[in-house]
Amino acid sequence: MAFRPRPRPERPTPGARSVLIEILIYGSVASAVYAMLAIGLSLMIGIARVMNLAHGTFYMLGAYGVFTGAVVLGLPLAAAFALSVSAVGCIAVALNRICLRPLKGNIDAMLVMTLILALMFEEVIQLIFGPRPRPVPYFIDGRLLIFGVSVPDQRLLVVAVALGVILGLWLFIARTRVGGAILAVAQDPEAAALMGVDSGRITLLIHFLAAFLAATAGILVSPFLSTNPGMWLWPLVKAFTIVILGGLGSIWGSILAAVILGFSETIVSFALSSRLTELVALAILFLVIILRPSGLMGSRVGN
Amino acid sequence: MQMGEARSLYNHLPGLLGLGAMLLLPAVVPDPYIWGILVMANLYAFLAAGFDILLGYAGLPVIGYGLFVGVGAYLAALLNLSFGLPPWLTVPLAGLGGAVFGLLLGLSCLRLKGLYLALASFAAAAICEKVVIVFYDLTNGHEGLSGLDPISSHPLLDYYLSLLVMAAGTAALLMVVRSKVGLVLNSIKDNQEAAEAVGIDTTRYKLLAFVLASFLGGVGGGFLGHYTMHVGPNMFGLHIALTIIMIAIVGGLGTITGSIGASYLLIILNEALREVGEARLLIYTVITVVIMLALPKGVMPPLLNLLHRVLRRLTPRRRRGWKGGLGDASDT
Amino acid sequence: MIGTILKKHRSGKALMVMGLSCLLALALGVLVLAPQPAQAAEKELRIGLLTSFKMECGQASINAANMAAKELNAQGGVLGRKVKIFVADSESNPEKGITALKRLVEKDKVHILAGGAMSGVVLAAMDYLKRYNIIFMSTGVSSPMIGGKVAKDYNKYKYQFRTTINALNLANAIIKDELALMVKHGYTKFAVLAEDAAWNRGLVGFLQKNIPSVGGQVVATEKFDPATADFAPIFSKIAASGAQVAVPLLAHTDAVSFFKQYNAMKAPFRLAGFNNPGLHAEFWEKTGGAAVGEVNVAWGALIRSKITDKTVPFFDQYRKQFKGAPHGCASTTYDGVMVLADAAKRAKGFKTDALVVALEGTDYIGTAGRVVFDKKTHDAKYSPDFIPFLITQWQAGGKWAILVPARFATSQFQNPPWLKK
Repeated sequence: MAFRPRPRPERPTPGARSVLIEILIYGSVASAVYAMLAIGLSLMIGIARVMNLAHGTFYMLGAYGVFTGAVVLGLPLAAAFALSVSAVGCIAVALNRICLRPLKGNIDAMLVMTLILALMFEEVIQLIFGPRPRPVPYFIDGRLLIFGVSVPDQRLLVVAVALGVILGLWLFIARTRVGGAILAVAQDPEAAALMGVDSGRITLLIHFLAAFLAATAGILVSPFLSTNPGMWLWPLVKAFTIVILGGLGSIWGSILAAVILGFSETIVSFALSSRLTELVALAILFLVIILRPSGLMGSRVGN
Repeated sequence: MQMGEARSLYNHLPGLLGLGAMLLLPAVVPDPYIWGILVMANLYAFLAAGFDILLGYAGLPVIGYGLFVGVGAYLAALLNLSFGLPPWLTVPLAGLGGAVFGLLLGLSCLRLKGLYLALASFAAAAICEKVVIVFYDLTNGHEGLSGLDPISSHPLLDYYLSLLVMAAGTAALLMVVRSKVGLVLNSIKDNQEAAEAVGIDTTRYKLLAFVLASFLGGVGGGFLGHYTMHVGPNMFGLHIALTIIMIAIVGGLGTITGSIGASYLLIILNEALREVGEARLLIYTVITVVIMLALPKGVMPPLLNLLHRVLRRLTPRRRRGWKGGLGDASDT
Repeated sequence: MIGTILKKHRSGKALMVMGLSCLLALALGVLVLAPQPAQAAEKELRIGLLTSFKMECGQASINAANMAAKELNAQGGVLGRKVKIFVADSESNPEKGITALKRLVEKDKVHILAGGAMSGVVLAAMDYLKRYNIIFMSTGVSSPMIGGKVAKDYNKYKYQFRTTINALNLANAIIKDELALMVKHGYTKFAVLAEDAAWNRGLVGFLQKNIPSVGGQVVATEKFDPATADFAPIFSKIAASGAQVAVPLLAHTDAVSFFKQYNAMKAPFRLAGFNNPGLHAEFWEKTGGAAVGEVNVAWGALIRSKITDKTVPFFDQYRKQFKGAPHGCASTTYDGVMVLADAAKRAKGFKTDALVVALEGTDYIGTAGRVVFDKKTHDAKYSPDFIPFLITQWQAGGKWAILVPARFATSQFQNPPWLKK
């Protein structure tokens, strides 16, 4: 037998325990991103009655917005962030006014229109920034050691910001007058109108909020996921999967479903192969629609 | 009787003129490169007409229409490459394969409309796309299968075959939608409950729409695969389906024939815009959005309207023999 | 909005319809009447470059082909003809690629085809070569199936030649040069980390089978979709397998994200494999230094190193002209065009059959080494005597060092900073 050099001591092989912790951490990161995407979409479908297949576009625009602000213009990160989310929010409002309102609630037309709009924005981004992924620098460097698993801070930031934003949204809806108006429209649009709530303005507000959430998600993941013109599609599919699994219009249902999807994808990619994660989302989407269209909570309003 | 005949001839005039123009086109433009583009225009017109049955007549937004195109393409490719069946056999079989998938999807989505149907059909198509990629031993994954037998040995024959398929497909669909079926489908689209209340078996008619559309999708996919001698997983995907959907919308939903005009417009525009390079898909989408907002019925109905007005001015008054009405396509 | 404007003016719709009809007529007109290049065709040597505009390989191919054409034209062209490059976008998609190929042949009337940035497109295109009686010089694709098709059905596919690598040769270089080097440094546990694509399909099995022959051991194999954006679970799995070295096989993956995530995790393994997007002197800047420690297989004029007399002048000229270092597809395309010109001179014409014979007799010193095509597969020979593979590493401070072969070496292997021992 030929002599072979003895392997040098490496870091100890991570055992089953640390794999579990990793699943816990990466599952939470994925769930946090999905929750931000899905809550906005759920509001949009459940309250504004807009079937928006361009929702993933806001996620993409958020990422490119922060790239433009932070890398191209060289703004400080906070400024780039604020600029990006407000710009995306305004785009969402403008899209509603220009392209969706004239369709007067025709759901089929809305579906097709928003899908074509998504494709249009993909092309616009591709023309401006090129088809190749654009690198966004890390917002915070460094890593944290959690039970022996080293996790990049950027990923933990995603979870922290998502929790903050979702909590803020909940307080806004539960504690403010405008939030009350949103709830009123959600429960009974006609009654709300009689009470003097302008449902048109609520619709626009919801578009802004939904786009804000999606853009925030896009911005937070842009440093470690790929920022490219096609990045809108899968987050969109996953957001719809969550919204339908959780039940349309139910925020808590969306959060629960986001956690379910985030963790099942992470478990599948650890246990089997990361090639299958998208199939997981698609299979859940298809099966839930076919077998239990009302989702875990909430009701069907999609038709 | 005479009046009826005159009317039907009159109504078919634009269609006959169009068909004549298409038959003569290769003589006017003796360029195989243009013929090749027109083959694509014919195929996309055929596919968009199939989609029109679903969305335009039955009100079923099957965004995953690519499912049928992909199934047809891969079935034709496997039959041709593994068993050596010639294209004139594989293309109809591809249509049957597509129809089987259409029936399955239709059965599993019977109660669905709107958002749910759109998402379920998208998911079905995307699942098939992923499955094709994962099982690359049979399908060759991302790169797809190449080396299919060409449709014919001559570009001119390709053109006429595609024209034949397109004309036969749209004529058959027109016959279907002008029969009772079209009316029933429309009533389902407007109000399914009401249709059921008057005793219509809506399930059967919806399944019929699914089967018809998916048969066309399968035939189109198989033809496309043989024509380019290659099939790939992206045929299941959103981009091809969206191209088909845009053509159906620009042409005018619920017209069948509108798809032909829109397909010629958009496919030729697409090729002409190659000079513009990267902006062409953008121009494409912008045109569709503007048309959706400005002409919700699509381009073809108003265009036919215009044509009729011109024709009426040209024909002597006494031969007209009927008043108003502009044929089925624009009778809206 | 537009709808309401149109409704106010009754003729609006008719106007719009007429406008669209005019657009259709215009589009048809552009197609039919566009400057027909047929007359000039006989005074030019037209090379059609079919490549993917959105891939770095595609951009580099376009640059390099134009550069080669310019240099040939400065010397009076080829057999008195000016070389002109026509480009068409395959959009990384075989169907679109076929449409683009038809356009090059039928509309632009090119005499020779070159390029290719995705194996699937070239494999689909190969079925058209006999029909069009035209040569295709592949300069950016590495699937072994391409050479395999030529070997299997010579009469049908003899029109296909390739200046770039065949992944099987690459596999040999990875095992015998790159991974053997890692074993020499004491790292014997390997994990194969391959994107799921045609070019590396045979390669994965080859690596699994042959890594033991140099004293290594494969402890894990992970395949992932090239569209993957989040590599963290994959890296964690590799780490959990106890691998000391991961062997990435990347071409269509977002390599910048890959390396940024690898570096951010401070993953407990080295990367030594093949990373096509990383074959670029500016990869260091793109990853913000996250590529540190990466070992990669390179060839051609990627690094400013004197492989042949033409390498350094090519590198400098390319960088001057295009404001950036050449990508891997640049030198193969440049050499490909030069080899075609050389073959045309020897064939004394541009007839396809004569060109095939002349290309088979090619023995040309290019920027990457000595180009000689294998008689059976029509692949350029890659070995120390012909075109050498270089084992490279990104080292602290952004230095792209050559480790192997010894005659070009500029440095020794170094661990990534967080894996000192």
